[in-house]
Amino acid sequence: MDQPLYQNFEMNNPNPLAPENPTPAPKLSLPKNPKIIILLVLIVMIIILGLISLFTTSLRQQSPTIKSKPTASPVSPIPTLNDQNIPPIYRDQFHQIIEEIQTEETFLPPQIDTDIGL
Amino acid sequence: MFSLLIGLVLAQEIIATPSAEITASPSPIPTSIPTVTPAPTPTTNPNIALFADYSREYNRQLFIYQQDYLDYSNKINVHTQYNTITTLNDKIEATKKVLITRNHLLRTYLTALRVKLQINQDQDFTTSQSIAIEINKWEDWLNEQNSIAISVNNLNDIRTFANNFKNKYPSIQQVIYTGLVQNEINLRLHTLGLIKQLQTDIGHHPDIQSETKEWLSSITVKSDLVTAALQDAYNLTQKSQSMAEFTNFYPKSKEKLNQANTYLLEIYHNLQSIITKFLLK
Repeated sequence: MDQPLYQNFEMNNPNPLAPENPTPAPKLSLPKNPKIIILLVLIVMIIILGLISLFTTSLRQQSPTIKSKPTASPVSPIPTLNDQNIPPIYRDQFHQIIEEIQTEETFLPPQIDTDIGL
Repeated sequence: MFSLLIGLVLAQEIIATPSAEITASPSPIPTSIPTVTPAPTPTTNPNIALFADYSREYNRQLFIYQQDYLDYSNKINVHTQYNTITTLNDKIEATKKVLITRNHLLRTYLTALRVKLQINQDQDFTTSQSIAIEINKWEDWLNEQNSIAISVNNLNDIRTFANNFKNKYPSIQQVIYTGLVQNEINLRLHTLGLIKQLQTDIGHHPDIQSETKEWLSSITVKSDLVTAALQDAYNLTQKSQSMAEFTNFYPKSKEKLNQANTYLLEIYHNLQSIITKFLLK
């Protein structure tokens, strides 16, 4: 028994096999206001500069050009006297002064129990 | 505009490069041998050796006190546990012993401190001497207390004896910390004296120029700051104390002393810079 054929007349394309009419893509319209154009240009430039900065930073980190001296010993917090820069006649005086400055006077009293016998 | 901004970024990169790349100029070599007479060699202060002796004696007494205190704590625990006449007598004897040892310990500490104070007492003789007299007074008092302690035989006497010490201890602490502060003031004043002497010696150098003399005179301003900080440290020791409890002024005084020491270090570096910059040109 043959099935009856139905056709939806409310649709724009009643034939489901026929291709639909392609909808036109919305056109990208550039703003015509010159202030907005300048603003957009500036934003683009900032992004480019940021990228350049990132690129140079990564380059510098990858291949350091700074010739640093090998750190064999940790830096002492106590200043040391560079004897070569001091005339010999003053060296002893400089030494004595720095020794006294670095002297830490700690002769604190003993911790005692004041409640003994109470 | 874009190329200008690129140029700015690159310029910033160059400026940001650490100065480690810059090669340092070789250290200057003195061209002429100065004829200034060298500073006299310092004579050894006899009080330094004396302090070392008293310090050793203090450490010995500290060890004895710690041993006696341990014994005293044990005897108290035993008496609390058994509560017999024997344990009570042991407790009394141990308490007596540790009270005497405690006085000995404090006395040896005070003696060592008094000797230490004499090492640089000439920087402020009057103040140092008055503190030394006070310390000596407490040394005598502790000796006297120990002679009394021998006759103490019961808990009531021990309590009276211990109470007497506890009441006097804030005054002893006041003297101790005042002595400590004054001792450090004396040391820093001594260092300042050495710096001033060096300043004068550099000023009399034959190759000295008027420009250098101006730099040297600027050090005087900083030396005034040292003196002011030391004065502040001393003033903190003179605040009135309550009779019952000691208010420790030492940490605040120590801050001022450290401040003075920082100024001394700055003067030291300034002198070093002056000598390198001007005298060795």
